[in-house]
Amino acid sequence: MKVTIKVRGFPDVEAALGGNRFMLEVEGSTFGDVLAEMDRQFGEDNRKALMVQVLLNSKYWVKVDALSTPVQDGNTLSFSNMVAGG
Amino acid sequence: MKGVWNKIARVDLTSGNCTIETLEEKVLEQFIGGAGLGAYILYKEVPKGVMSADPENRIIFATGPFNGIRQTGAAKWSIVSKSPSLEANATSCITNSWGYELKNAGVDALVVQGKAVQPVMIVIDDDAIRMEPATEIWGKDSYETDDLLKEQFGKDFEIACIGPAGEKQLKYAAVVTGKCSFAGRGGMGGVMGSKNLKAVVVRGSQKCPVANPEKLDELNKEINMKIYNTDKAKPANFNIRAHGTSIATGLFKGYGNMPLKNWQLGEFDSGIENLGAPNYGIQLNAKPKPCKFCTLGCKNHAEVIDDKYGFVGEGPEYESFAMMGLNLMVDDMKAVAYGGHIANTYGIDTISLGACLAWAFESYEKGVLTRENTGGLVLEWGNAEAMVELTKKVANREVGLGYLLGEGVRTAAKYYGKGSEAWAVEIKNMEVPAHDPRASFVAGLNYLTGASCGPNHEKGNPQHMFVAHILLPEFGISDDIDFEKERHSWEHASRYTAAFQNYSNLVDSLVHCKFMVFSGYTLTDMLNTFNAVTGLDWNFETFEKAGERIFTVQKLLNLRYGITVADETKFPERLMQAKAEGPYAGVAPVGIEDAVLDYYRHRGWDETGMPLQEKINEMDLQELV
Ligand code: SF4
Repeated sequence: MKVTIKVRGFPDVEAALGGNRFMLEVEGSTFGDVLAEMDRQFGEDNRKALMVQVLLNSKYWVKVDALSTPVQDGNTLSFSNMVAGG
Repeated sequence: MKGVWNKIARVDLTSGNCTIETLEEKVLEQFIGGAGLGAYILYKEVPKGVMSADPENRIIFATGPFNGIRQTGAAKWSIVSKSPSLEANATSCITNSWGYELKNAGVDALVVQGKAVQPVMIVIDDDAIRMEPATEIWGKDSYETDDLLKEQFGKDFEIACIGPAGEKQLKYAAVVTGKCSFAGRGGMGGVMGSKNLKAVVVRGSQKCPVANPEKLDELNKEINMKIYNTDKAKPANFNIRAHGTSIATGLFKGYGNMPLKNWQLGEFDSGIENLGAPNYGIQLNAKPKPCKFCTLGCKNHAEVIDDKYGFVGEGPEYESFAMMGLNLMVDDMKAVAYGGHIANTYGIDTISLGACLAWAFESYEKGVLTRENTGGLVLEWGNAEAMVELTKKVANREVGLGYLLGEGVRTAAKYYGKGSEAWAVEIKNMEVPAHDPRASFVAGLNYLTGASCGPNHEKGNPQHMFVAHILLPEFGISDDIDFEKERHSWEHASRYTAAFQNYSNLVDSLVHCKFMVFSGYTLTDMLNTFNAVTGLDWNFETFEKAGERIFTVQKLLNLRYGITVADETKFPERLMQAKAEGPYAGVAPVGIEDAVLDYYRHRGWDETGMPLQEKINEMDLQELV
């Protein structure tokens, strides 16, 4: 399946990933499979740095340890780092 | 509705009467608690013509359904009153353990009215409420007051008090609790001072029953762990527990969101580095000091050893060091923290104070103020010592410049004149906080239209979409937005602003800590918790509607107290000027006046900002209004 990955708020990781929005070709059908593919392509450390807040299809929060959450072809996964602002 | 007592305590300081009243159940089903309950009481009890310092004004210390539950963020509570700086209604939130004790004393709120002949304090010990003389502690600072009252009553009592600034009715005086948390915005401390009320001492031992304790336990465990783990997993220098809100500088720098040199500059590398993470914690020897039940822990305890600027106490938050440091070009972390510490002990809002100091520094540079006015202080940009000394003059309400700055920047600029109004950065007589509308236009729209507490970055915080990456997908604010395009566009600004204002009102009514969202607390978590506590079966629509209903009443109060469309379209001149360098240089929020009118339409209000009858009906407010 092909999923869209969006990244917000991680300037260093964005640089390592080569952008803040890209397509990812994944073998499998779960959130865990997507993460495994990201580990393979970008390195586990870079991927782990993204595990702050994850949104599926602009609508559903994904618990970062809910690896069996189903993900389908054409879905979007959004990773954001929310930062305090006084 | 479970999770609340449907009871308020009322103290009339004039007559000395202390009573407990029962609220009709539908009141909290409509207004939830906290900010909502406060707005409701003000609407019913404080008519037009009552000034903030009049005995007829009310000050309402209000908890909500979340107070008392063992969930991270549930330590917050709200203070609502007619504000001395706005001369209109305002809500200011505060934290630590005081709200928890009040709720456990068996009431949802304390309403104080009247004026005592001599300084007094209110003591609430479960169901027993009384007034006691406070003459001996009048004049003590907020830290001493806390210590003395804990010594007198016992460590299991929590104290909310004012310092000398509140006693002397400085326009932006704060209420202080636990020597670490401050309801600064709006000048609630001055309302207490006007009533001769030095402190409220409270202890409670009752547990308010919730509807579904098993479900709530499950949610609390899951949420508390999530918040802790999410913060821990953040990249170095973004970890709140380690660095407090100083982490914000790392991101805000890239967005040009910080006030630099009274909002004139786009870059100040040494200041941003010295006051930001990780230098903040190192310089201040800061250790996390979380509020009750908090697993995030933005608050920190500083122990600074320094000949000039040594102190022990609460470390400054982002707003404090941005307004009292960056905005004055002061890059000495210890000096900035020390200035903040003085403000804390005197009980002063550091946002308004920083804005007033920055205006004075610029006025000095431009010759409006001279050494004669400043008592010999050289108010040159970056002069840390001058910042500290001027803070003392304001805190002590020293005759002349010190006193006038304590009346607010608008008054000071009017008095000294010579065009200095042009760099007095305020809206509706309240100084603007440390988020730059040129970094995201919605910040400006929220400052102008905020009905909860004037220009306030936490009462409606739409800028956080753009500068802190907050999403509220449950309220239609999600990642499908083109953030860079929308950052400087009015097209959807009304929708974003209104959604965040409604959201903020919900949080301030429940009452909960807005910082939880920075570590992954979602509206879904909030709604699930609300339903488990109250036994109601609300959805996101009813949830947002409740926030909007409260905002509507706040707006009606604004109108009652004389805030007009002219006030809401008068944007500070300085913030209309584009910056010459840094991120988003050359950008100014041109068209903001039209955006306000568009916002009124979006809200279902007429061109004067009056909610239309259909809106009143939609909000189920026919009975109240
Ligand atoms: S995040 Fe900060 S203000 Fe909020 S509850 Fe925790 S320590 Fe208190």
